[in-house]
Amino acid sequence: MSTFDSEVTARLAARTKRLRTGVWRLLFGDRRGLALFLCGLCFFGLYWRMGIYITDGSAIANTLVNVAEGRVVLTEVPYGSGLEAPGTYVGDRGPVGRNYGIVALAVPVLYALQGLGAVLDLGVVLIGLWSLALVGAVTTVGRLVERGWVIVGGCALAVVAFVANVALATPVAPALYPVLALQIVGMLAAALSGVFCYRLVACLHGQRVGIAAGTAVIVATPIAFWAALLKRHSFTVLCVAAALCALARSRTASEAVETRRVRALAYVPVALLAWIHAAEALLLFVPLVVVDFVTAERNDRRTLAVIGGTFVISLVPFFLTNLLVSGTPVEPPRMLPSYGAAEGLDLNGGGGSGSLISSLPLVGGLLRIASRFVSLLGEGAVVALTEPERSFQTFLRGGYIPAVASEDGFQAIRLTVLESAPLLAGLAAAPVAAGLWLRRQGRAALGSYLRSPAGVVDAVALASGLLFVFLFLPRLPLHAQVTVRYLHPLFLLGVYGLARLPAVRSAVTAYEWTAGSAYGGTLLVGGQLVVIALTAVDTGLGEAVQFHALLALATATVLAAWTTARALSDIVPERAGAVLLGITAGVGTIFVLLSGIEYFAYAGEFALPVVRRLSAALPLA
Amino acid sequence: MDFGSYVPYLAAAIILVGTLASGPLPLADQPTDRTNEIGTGSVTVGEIRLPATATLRQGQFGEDSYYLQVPAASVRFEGVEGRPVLTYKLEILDLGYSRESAFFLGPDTSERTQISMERDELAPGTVQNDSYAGVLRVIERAGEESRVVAERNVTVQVRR
Repeated sequence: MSTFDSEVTARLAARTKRLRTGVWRLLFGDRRGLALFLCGLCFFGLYWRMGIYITDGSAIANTLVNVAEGRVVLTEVPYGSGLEAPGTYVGDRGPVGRNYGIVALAVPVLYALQGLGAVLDLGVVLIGLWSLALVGAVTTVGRLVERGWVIVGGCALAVVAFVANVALATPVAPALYPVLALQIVGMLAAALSGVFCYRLVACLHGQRVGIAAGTAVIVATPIAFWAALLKRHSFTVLCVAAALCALARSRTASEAVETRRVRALAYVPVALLAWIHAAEALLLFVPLVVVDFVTAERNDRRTLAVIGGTFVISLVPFFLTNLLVSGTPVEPPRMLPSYGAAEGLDLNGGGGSGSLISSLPLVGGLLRIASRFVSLLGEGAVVALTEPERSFQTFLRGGYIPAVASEDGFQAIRLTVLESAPLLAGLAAAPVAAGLWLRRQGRAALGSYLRSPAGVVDAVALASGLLFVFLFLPRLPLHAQVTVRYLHPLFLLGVYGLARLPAVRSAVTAYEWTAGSAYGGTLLVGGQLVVIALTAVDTGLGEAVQFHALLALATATVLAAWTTARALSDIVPERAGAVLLGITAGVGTIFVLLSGIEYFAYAGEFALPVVRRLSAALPLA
Repeated sequence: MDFGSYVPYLAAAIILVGTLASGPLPLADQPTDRTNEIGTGSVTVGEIRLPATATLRQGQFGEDSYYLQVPAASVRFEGVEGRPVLTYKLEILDLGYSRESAFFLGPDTSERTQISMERDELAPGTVQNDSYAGVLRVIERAGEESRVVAERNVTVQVRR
């Protein structure tokens, strides 16, 4: 009996271990991935404000409250303007919310928070979790770089931070728990985006470039800005990163079985994205499926069955949710009529199209959705080509745009893509580098490039990025965007593109320390100079944001000049590039930190009370 | 590295114990609810100094809006009874604009206090003149009643 028992226990233990390592490898890949993940969480925690930042957040929090109680239909709406909150729709059996995929992830977190909050002070629990993440981060990093002092110093810092924060801790109202649960899954998604970016780039260009790219995504782009702000965008980025990562690995795998499995895996994040935002999932799905099947070595029946089966199974939650919400499996919440007054920002086909679709048979409905989608993208492409001013105000320089600012409280608190992530200026060299490559290698090399792992990922990344631009550009520039959040995946794809530039890669690998020091210097010294300058001018909110914009554009211009020059000639010093990459990344981080700690501190009480003191002490807008 | 191998466990243990010990904390600091008393009682003001000018400054760095900045008023209280509310209000008739900020007084209000008004943003199109005439008021609100404690005409200077 006892031998049987121990055998079962041993088998169970082995299976648990396999499962654990399986999940671990699937999410983090290796210890470097884990280190990035933990560092990302600690970074986002620094400016985590517990509350709802923009009104759209109310609807998703309301949805969570109801789903946590086992209802898809909204009967309890404690946040924002209740059922009038933007993001509420008229469902089959009553008002419904959206982003059910995120909500489903947040439900277990909410239960955990409610349990912990019942027996402990939740404010202290959150501080404890953050401090534990810091202990984990410094321990993982310290072991990776084999420096004992990193571990000892970091752990001491974590304990000191814990004590100092707990000393100032205030109780957290249980009414905030659903918001906190959503913020936590958002931060997890944002941190994992960095991990998948690392794994994607590491798969193609080695770990050092991969770590640089993953770090850049986490600290130097608006992905950090929106990490805890109750929006879907972190999840969109995560799904794009995970799909591209799996695609890259499917092309570098050595065995056919492994290739098939990883290829199928690439479609899982697409299906999960559909659960969150169906239109965005299509923007990823179409390029992925086309490029994947055209460039794959074999598309035999078995491969098709595995990929198709995986995809359909992953879509089950999406179909089930739609069925519950709208009564039709292919009609996601966003295609339903808005509950509140005109919202106009979503993909609903206007007025009463919802009922029309549900009366059509399934195939007809799908065709209608597809044609509407294609026409939307077509309109976007036309707008992109014929309205250069719109692109200019979205990608390069915005400033004060009266129609947008009037909705933002007469404040120019809207940045362009480049203003919010000056690091991406390096992409200016991409066309030059591509042209030179083509001239040197000849057209014949193009075919083999497009079948190479990097070529396959490049094609999907470029096509998906363009589709995102086409879908959203006609609505931009828009208020309540701050960092053009509709185009959020471009920040990930942009960092990936940077990592694909040979000039950037060699500068980062040859002068790692130079780039790191430039980043640290910019953050610590430059950050203080920015605070001093803004204090001296006594800036308002809009002025402060626009100051960051100009600073970003100034550094971005120099970086763009360097990458272009470096692509043309090897005489241009490589070290300068490392410095510029560090500086532009640092400028991006300064905005993320100051906006989170100071400019938009009103989004809620800080999870780390010490930061509240810092925020109060800073004499800025 | 040997030293470094147990430090994380020690740190994690301290943090965990600290977190678990927080259980009774919420019982300790139950905030006392006194909101229903706000707006009752009265205040005796000894001296108020109101500024003579305010500014409408156009933003820089590409921000075109105007910032309306009103210097703080300094107030000396002779006595505060209950929890009255004092509001600091600016009115610019030509712009059809008014703005006020409220201060909740109580037993812990210090004798000399600065009452301030947060800066506000005005759309660039609304500001045409080089200066506007405005009125600054300090108003006491207790219960249903309100009483103007101090009033002064101010010049709102436009700086472009």
